[in-house]
Order: sequence, then structure tokens, then C-alpha cells
Amino acid sequence: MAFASVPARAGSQRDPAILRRRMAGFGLLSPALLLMVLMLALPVMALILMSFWTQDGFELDRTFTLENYRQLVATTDEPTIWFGIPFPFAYPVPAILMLKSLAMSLVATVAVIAVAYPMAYFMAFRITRHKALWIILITIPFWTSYLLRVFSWKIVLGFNGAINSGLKSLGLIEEPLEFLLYNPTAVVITLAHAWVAFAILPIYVSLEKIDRTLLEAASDLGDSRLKRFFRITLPLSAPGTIAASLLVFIPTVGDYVTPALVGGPGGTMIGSLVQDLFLKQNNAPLGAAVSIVMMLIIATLVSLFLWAIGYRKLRSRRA
Amino acid sequence: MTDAPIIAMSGLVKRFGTLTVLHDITFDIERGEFFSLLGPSGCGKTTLLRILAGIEQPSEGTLLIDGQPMAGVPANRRPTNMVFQSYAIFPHLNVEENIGYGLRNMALSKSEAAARVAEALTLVKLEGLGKRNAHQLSGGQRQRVALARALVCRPKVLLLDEPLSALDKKLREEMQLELRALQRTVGITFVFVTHDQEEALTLSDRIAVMDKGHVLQIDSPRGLYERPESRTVAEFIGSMNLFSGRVTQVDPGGMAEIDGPAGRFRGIARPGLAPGDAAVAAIRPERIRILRAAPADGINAVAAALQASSYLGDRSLHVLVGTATGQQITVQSGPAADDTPEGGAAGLWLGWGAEAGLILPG
Repeated sequence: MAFASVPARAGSQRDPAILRRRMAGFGLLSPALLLMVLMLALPVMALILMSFWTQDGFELDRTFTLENYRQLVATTDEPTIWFGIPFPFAYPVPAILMLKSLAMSLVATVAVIAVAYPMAYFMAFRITRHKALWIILITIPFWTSYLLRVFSWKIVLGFNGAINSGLKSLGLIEEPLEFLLYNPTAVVITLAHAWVAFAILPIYVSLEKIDRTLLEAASDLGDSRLKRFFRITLPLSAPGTIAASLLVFIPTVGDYVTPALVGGPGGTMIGSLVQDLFLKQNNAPLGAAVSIVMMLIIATLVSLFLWAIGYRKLRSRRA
Repeated sequence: MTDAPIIAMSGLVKRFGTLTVLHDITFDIERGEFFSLLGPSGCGKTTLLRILAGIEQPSEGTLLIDGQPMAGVPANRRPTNMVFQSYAIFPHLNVEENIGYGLRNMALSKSEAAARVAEALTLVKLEGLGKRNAHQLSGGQRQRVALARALVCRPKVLLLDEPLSALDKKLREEMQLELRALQRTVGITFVFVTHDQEEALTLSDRIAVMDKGHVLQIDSPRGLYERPESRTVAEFIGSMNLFSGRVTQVDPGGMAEIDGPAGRFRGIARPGLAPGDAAVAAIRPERIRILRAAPADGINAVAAALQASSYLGDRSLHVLVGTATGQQITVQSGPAADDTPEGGAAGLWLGWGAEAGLILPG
């Protein structure tokens, strides 16, 4: 791909044929571009703008100020202790929830990869016929709404839910287990289940692309099956696996539907706070500032992660 | 032990479902040989190589490598290494890491492994390219990396699956010479799969010609060319003119005569031919002489008309049409133009000595 674009770029400014082709490219892009500008770029800009305003009772004070951001980083001498970690902020809730959200998403992502990788591996290496059917089967959960799927977890994990009544009828427990629902674990389980299908596909594609003779060559050079997996299969499927992790991690940090439904008071995440600030506390500017900071933190973390594992190098070597 | 064959195959059969791709393969490969498996695509030669490597398991039969039975021994525990047709260079590793891949599975110190990688790089003339990434290599370089990666493990047998087929003609000819020299240097048994008969003739000590899952003949290049045992081998190795007929006479001295629509032919007979059998007279283009008049005895004589001639410098090729049967006959003459007939000349005769031709079952 990279090679193909090089000659096209050279001297492209004058050549009318290339110019026309470029315009055609923009033409193809424009519906998506228009939608992105209207539905993403403009709202984000509005959000940024709003984060520099303040809420004054029922009125918006539209004078430019950094007050919201100052409020988020204002320190105090009496740090709030959360799980042994001191948060030296006057308003520690956003920072605590941010850290908690990152941790919960991380656990959910690890869980998703742990489930999705073997599934993708199975599909890529063990299924020889009807692969399309398997891919369709994986999408079956999406045939019903996300809310319904979250609600079904409520039914599975609930006080009188499937697990509790099942265990009770087996005589294994006397009283229903209360630790199943309305806590961070329930959120992580629900998130992992909801996102696993998204993770399977990129991992599957990267595994499917691996040339099978590479595996034969590794065996021929003395690798056992396990060794071969760690030396060939895993590194060559890394781009897909990393893409899958990001695909799960980034959106789940800001999720608020899941914590709202199965999280209970202990399972709240940063998204819950944003929703709360916008709707219940009627402080949209602060909610906007929290959103912006959250985006920046996720972007920074993801960039650091990609830089640390040398993602560029990883991708270029696949060529 | 050293005189025992390095590879002994006995009754190897391979079936994929209901399809049998190898039938009762039984032969030995000697220590230090450059041995080729030659045949058209789909003849089973690659499958046989993969059975030797342990990538495929035979459905029946036994395989000994260096005297050890190989049943149930997986590819990673066999004393063989393979050069794949696609080279199978690991894309996430550089040249050194690729070459050193197999060494990591041996009990070698780091410095020893590094020394062997360096030695292998020199052997395949890739010094200084050790840090290159796989995608920065040309086809020829990839081929050398694949070769070095297999040789560095010092296998007892090196298996090569059409390693030159992806290279352009000039590079292929260069690599043929290098491969032959390399095999002499390292002294390892090479088993080389190819569909290119010229390549097989150039490189090999011995060649097994395969067709439809059977081994037709195993012989030296000279033996295959001069004494093909069957019509298929005769046609596959080099070019051959064939005249069909029925055996009329078999001499105790190993000569036979056939009579057919194109005439009467006499040649060295394959053992087992009896009068009345269907047979062909086979004669190489370079053994035929173009004559102006009919030979006296009327044996090995074909009346023909010249259709086309092409001058190739060191030799000329003539295509003639037999007067009696209409079949095309190819004749090759030397650089001296004296026996080259005038273009379009009819009423010519083709003749050859009885020792130059073969009588094969047909």
C-alpha cells in the first residue's frame, strides 16, 4: 500500500488526471465527512466551548473562564483516601472515578481478550468449512438491543436471578449471594460480554492472515506447538489483538449505561458522573470539562501505550 | 552405519480422503547425495517431501531416516530441515533472527549460536545484511535466508521444495550453480523437488521421476536421458521422437525390432518385451541424421519432408513431417551446416544407428 502511493504523489500537483482522481476520492469521502463534521466535530467543539463557561443557577454564564478546570485540579491539604490511594483534590470525585473507570475498563479489556483470542484462534485455525456462518453466529447478540442484553445480566446475576435460584435449588447455598449484582464486578462482566464480539473479529482477521507455511517452518526448525504459538502466532497476531484491546478499552472507560443498570452505588464510573453533572446537578459546563479531561487522559494513555510497544514497527514488519 | 542409506522408504502410501496421491513408494536415498524428485505438478513430489519433513504423515508404509523409524516423530524432532517454496521467512524477525530461529531450540551458548549465524550468512553470501528486515529483501536474498536458516541447524537431510521456481531465469541459473557448490561444501544430503527437468539434470546425482503418485524411474541424469525405461520418462526428459508399432523380433543380445505405420525400427530393447507387444521406437533429435537417399537396409529409416528450420548458433533445429504417417519429427544438427538441407525440401530420409534408438513398451 505504502509503495503504491509513492509514485502517485510525485508531481501530483499539476497532473489533471491525478487531481481528478483526488477530487473523486473526496467525493466518495464526503457523505461520511459531512456526517462526522455535523455529528462529531461540531458537538466536540461545542463541548470544548461550554467547558470554558460556568453555570450560574439556571443561567449559563458565557464569559470565558478556566474555573471548571481549576475546580478539577484544585488541591487541598486533607487528601481523600480511596483504596489506600490519597487524592489531594478539593473535589476528588472526578479523579477517583477516572482512575476507577480506567481500572474497570482495563479488567474488562483483559477479560474480553482472554475470551476473544481463543475464540478467534479456533475460528481461524480449526474451522475449515462454513466460516461465514461462524462469523454470523458471533453477531447474533447484536440482533437484540444493548439495553436488553444488560437487563438479561440483571436477570442472571440478580438477587432472585438465574445463578442464585440455580445454586439454591441445587442446595449449594441457603441464602442468595448478594455480591453478584450492583458492584464493579457486575459492570466488568456485563461490559466484557457486550464487547467480546467486537474483539473477536480483528483478532480473527490477523490470525487468518498468518501464512500457514510460517507455522510449518517453525515446526520444521524445532518448535513445539506451544513454542511456535509464542514465537510466531502471537507476535504476528499482535496488531489485531492491540486493535481489539483499544476498540474495547476506549469506549468502555466512558460508558454509563452499564454502570447505571448493573453497577449500583459501588459500580459508578466517570461516565455516570458526566451524566449526573449534565442532567441531575444541572452543571453542564463542569460536565463538559470532565468529559474533555477524560478524552485527553484516554488519548494520552493510548498514545503512550502504542509508543511503548512500538506499534509502528509492528505494523511495518507485517508488510 | 555410514554406508546405510540416509533415507529408506518402504511402501509409502498417502491418501487424502478417497484420493491416493502416493502409491507404494519404495526407494533409498544415499548419504551425501543430491537427489531430485522430478515430475509435473500434482505428481505427489511435494507431498513426499512433506512426509520426509514430518509435516504430513504417510497413510501406510515405513520411513527410516539415518536408520531411525520416523513413525510418530513430529517435524520438530526430525533431523531434517526444509527450504519452502515460498521461503516462509518470518516477517517479524530480521535476517539474523530468522537464520538463528532453529538454533534457539538447541542447547547452544549465545556466542556459539551467533558464530553459527555469522558463518551461515557468509556461506550464502549475505554478510552485512543480518540486521535487514524480511520485507527489505529481494527474492534471491529471501531464498538465501531460507537456505541459511535450514543449513545452520546442520540437518542430516536438507529438503528443498522448488526453491528456485520464484526466481527469474538468470538468477535461477546462478543459484543452481551455487546450490550445487554449496551441497558439495556442506556434504549434507539434499532432497530437491522440482518440475523443471533441466534444473534436475543440472543439479542432481540421482533423480526420481514421478508421475501420478508413482515413481517411474530412479537414475542418474545421464541414465535417465540415455536409457529411459518408459515412454513417459522418455517424453518427460528432454525431447524424444516416438514411432509406434508392434514387436516383431527380440534378440538375445538385448536388441529388438518393431514394425509400424512409419516403418521398421531396431533399437536397444527394454527387458520383458515379447513379439507381438505394443511398443515404441524412441530416438533423440540429436541422434537422427538427415539423408538425401533411403538407407540400404530400410531399418530406422523414415521418409520425411522438411517443414521448418531454426538456426540457434551452436545447433540447428529442424521440424520434419513423416511422409507415411504425417507425424512431426524433430531433428537437431550440429553447428556445421553441411547436413542442413535446403528449406522446403521434400523426399528426404531420416536415419539412425540401431544403438542410438530404444524400443520401449508403449
